[in-house]
Amino acid sequence: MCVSRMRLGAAVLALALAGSACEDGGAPDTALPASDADADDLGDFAAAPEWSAEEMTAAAQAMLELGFPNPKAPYDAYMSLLSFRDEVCPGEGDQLVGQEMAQGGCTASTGAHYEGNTTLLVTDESGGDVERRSFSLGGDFLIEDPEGYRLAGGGGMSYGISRAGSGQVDWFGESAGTWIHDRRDDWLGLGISSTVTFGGSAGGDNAVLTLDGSLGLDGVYVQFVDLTWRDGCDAYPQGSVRMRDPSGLWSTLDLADRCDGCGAWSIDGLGEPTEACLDLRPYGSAIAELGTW
Amino acid sequence: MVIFALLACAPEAPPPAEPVAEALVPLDNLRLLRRMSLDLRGVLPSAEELDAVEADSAQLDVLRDQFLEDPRLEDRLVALLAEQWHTRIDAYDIDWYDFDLGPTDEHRFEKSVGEEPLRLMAYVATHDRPWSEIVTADYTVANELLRDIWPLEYPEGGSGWEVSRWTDGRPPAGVLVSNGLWWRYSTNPFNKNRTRAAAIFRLLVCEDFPARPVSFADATEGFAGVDSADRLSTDPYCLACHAAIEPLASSLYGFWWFRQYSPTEMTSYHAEREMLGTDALGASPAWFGEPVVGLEDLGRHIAADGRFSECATRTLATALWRRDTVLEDQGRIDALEEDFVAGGMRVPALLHALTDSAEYRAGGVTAAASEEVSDREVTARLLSPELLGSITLDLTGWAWEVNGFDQLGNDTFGYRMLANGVDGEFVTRPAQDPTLTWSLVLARTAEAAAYTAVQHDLVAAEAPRRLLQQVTLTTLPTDASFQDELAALHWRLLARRASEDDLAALTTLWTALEADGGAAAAWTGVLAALLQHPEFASY
Repeated sequence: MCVSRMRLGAAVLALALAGSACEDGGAPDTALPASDADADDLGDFAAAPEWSAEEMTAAAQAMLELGFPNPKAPYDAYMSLLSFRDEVCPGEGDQLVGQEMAQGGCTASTGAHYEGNTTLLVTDESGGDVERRSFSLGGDFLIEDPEGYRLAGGGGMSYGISRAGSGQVDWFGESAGTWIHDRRDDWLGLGISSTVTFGGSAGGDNAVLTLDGSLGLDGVYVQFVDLTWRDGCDAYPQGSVRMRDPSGLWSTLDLADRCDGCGAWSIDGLGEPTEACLDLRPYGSAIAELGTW
Repeated sequence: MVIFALLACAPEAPPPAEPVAEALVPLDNLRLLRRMSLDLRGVLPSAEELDAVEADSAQLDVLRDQFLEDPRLEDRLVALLAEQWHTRIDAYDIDWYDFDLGPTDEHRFEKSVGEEPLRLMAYVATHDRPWSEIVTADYTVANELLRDIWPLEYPEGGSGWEVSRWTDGRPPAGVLVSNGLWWRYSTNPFNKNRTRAAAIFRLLVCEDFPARPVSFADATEGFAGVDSADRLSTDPYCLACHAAIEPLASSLYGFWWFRQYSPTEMTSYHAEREMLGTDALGASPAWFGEPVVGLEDLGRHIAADGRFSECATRTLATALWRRDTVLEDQGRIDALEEDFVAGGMRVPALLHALTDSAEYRAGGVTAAASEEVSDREVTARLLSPELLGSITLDLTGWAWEVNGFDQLGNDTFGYRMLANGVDGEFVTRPAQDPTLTWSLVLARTAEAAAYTAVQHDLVAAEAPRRLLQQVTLTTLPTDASFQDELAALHWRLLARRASEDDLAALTTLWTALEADGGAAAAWTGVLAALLQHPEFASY
């Protein structure tokens, strides 16, 4: 392991986000060549993309297949891990609060360790014309279960849904910050860094799903810009998807009004657009499924 | 007419500068050797080095060249750069308890974080690499503590500060992607990285936007009912700075956070957030109007900016001249910068040139010097807390450390600010005049260091001796070795041969103290007196 004695969420996430940098187990190459660089050539720098359209969309597609960043996953994990509590640790209620928790935390008699601070707001309103349910889990925390698996979060996960007697259903959610639960082997197990908002409406005249924001997962970075799924488009969205090349350049796949997941792709500011495709239907399905909670 | 118009618009030429060299009296060679040794190595010259320069003044240059290759130069550059980069603060949003560290690691944690960008720069400087590498390097410099808490590849078997590489995909951009820098210069949802942009401008191109004189007098009425965010992008008073700040702030969103106190958020780079700045600030990433693609591109734009090399020159001139550079220095700075650039932006050559300068070598002013020059030039420098610590450690083996805290390097429990140092937040430039608290810290340091030396050299009589080489607890003032020891101490500590009066005064002090507390107390008192002598405490 090239990073030793790392602990807590930061360390876990750092390793997760580090990708395969140390997977070969070899010593890192930190030797520097002698430098004869001159400042004169610095102004001529121009980044060149490392990936083609196919490579870029393949990487993004692989990332999408790791799953949609459903805020319910870390929320469910959090609530589940609270079951390892005892009478004293981590205290009353479902939030981690106080200076002691922020500075070292506590270890319950079950062996579970709780550390950091959280805010948890849960609403469940029913009986009226409109049924509303929501949760919002925010904070900066780490929970280690008795087997040593860790859930760490820095940011906020929220979700809400309302159902009207008319049959109209509206839902929304947000995934922001960095989160990891290393017991899992999906997107949350790998560790996610994101600022994603999504929403949906169904049951009325205007069924629609939306997705916006940025997502970093498994070394791939994308930004969803005004993605919208509407009826009659074979579950393909409109909008655009931006993807980051390893060089640091960003590219844009403009899905426009097409209904096949394809569109004009180009590196920002460079070259002519070319055709590329990205299958976002699984994300649409995942957002739609969240309307059934 | 065009020529006249151009002339009318040309910047006003600086007033003719008083020839500085003619207004300043240089230090004698021995005191100059002492100044160079302290600035470049952090320790006093040895008796042998003093002897060599006393016998042959040409040895001064020989020794200066050796100092410029001394490994201790790296620590000195860290200390000198810290005075202007202000990264060695006592508390970050992320704290030691966020990691698997104990309370006694607190100072080591804070020092390590704050020194990370400084160590990178010191590495570039001392390894004779082009200074531009501080904003283009694909590495940083980290120690074992940072290896354990940050996503870094650190050499197997390495120890101390080593070249290390980030493993979280952040662009190769030297200090621009330094956790230490951005933990120090934090931001918030209202500030939107503007503080960070202002830090880059100040530190790398010496454009201090917050220090600019901005008058809102004519705009006050117009502020009523206008959204301040709109104002920043429309009002000429605001645009004077924000036209440059916003695009740079926009380029820094890979370091944006959603939880300010979350180590999971603050430790890693977030490439997917790079584009958020464009929406948040309404400005695409750019460097003074030139679009940039990511931080690697930004680093190269900064390095290619003519102000970058000038700023490096000013930064190191400020560090060694112990004062801010002023308009009257422009000609000197231009000349130094020209050579710096022509030589490939190598710092040792710049340090060589700066230590040749009249401003550096000044030990006084001539009777004919103007009041302006007399007020401006720092002809006697006070020991900084870092120097006080490194000298006493080298001489006596004593380090003022309590529960892991270097008491001369922190202000949580220590005395850094009281000793005229910089904490980076509340005190941002070193004091140059003696203060009451500085003298108190000096006195306590001198006493403790003297006690340590006497206990080691005379009471425990451990070998090898550290400072007292010729006497024992039974040596008397009438013994030749007694007077020889006093003379040697005077020579080593003050870089001046002791006069008969000096020796007599020290002997009188020793005799009085010995009568009261014995020989160990007497030597402790004599040594403590020398260690707070004005000629010891200044250089």
